[in-house]
Amino acid sequence: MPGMEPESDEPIPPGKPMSMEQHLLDKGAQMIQSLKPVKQMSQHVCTFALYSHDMTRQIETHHYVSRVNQDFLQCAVYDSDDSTGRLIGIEYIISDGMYESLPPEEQRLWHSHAYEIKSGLWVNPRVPEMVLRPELENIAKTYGKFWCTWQVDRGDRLPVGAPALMMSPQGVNLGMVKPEVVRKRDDKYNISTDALKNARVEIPEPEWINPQADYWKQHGKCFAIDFEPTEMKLRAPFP
Amino acid sequence: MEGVNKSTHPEVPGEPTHTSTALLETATATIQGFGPINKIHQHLCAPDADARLIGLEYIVSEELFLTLPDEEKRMWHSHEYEVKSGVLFMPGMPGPIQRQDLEKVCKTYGKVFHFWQVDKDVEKGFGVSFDKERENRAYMTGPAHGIHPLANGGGKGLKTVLREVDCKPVDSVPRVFV
Repeated sequence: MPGMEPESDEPIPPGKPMSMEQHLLDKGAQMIQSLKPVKQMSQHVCTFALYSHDMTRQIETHHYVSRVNQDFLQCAVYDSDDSTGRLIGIEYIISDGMYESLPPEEQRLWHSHAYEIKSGLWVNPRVPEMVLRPELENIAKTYGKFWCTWQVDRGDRLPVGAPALMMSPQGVNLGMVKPEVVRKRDDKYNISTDALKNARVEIPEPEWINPQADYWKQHGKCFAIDFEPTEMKLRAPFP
Repeated sequence: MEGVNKSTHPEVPGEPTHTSTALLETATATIQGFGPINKIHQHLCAPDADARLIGLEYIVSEELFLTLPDEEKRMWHSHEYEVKSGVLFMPGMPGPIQRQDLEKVCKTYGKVFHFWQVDKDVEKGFGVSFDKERENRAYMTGPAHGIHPLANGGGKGLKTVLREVDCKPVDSVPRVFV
């Protein structure tokens, strides 16, 4: 380490490098433990998300997806796809049928996926478009709920503050992803979002997108999350 | 509550995965790289293959915890009790090796977010005894400076509240009835 790096070059998160002993312990745990939920992860999706409380803040996301059943997917979301990627949140994805069964209060928190698919923003890096087609058609009809727990885009060294609710890109005003943000992603994977958009013209638009989803579009309202003190329920002592 | 697995571990509703979807995902899993996921190397007690992702936890060393602003410290919890009581464990790992690792966890602080509330009967499911392990861990020590008084909510509970606010920037959002 040159030791003369300015403080702004401090790694995020800060912290000491791993000791050799820790590497060995971790390797051992990796070999012995089953880590089954992790092995269930079967898709890497690269797309974009917007903070509900400030939609001008737009981030590239890497979703590592595992399927629980045909109607339900769960994703660990990272800020990058390399081994230093930081875990910035989780997203749940549900089918349109399941979404319709939720109470309206809950439906407000979810976003639709049709635009993300049709616009070519949602990609599975390195998977041929043809192989992916049936899955894209499925996803176009789904809804997602994405909680961001680490706002690395504003330079947070550590995951501080309350979680933020994220919205999906949409084809109108506030929902549009800035071209430079998309271009950066496209350059990395050597793809063209525009070309994908054209290739996906034939993916059907859902006949119905519930107006409770993408709540801001219809209602002009966004969501902010705060922490508030509360009385803790203490367990009764043992008799 | 019958205490049966079913009631404490409700199934996620939804159709079973279609064979075509399963095949497609085998293909994507084979083709795609999983950079950050391959770094996951440790399992600190959580359930089986169709497990639900219920939340996430960040764990930092005592040194890093102490750099956090006081307001933020309240959202973190210490691990000393969780470890020493035997409640936190690493399924499948032999006791002595596990303890070597947990000695370190014992000194750390964590911030956990639960986005999905499910409860389960852990001791039964994993065939472990918290009481027995508690004795094995009696020698471990917590954070060097003791548990920080602001950690663990400073003894108070915290809850998140959702607030509806005007979208930012306000004027570029079309209103339905304007």
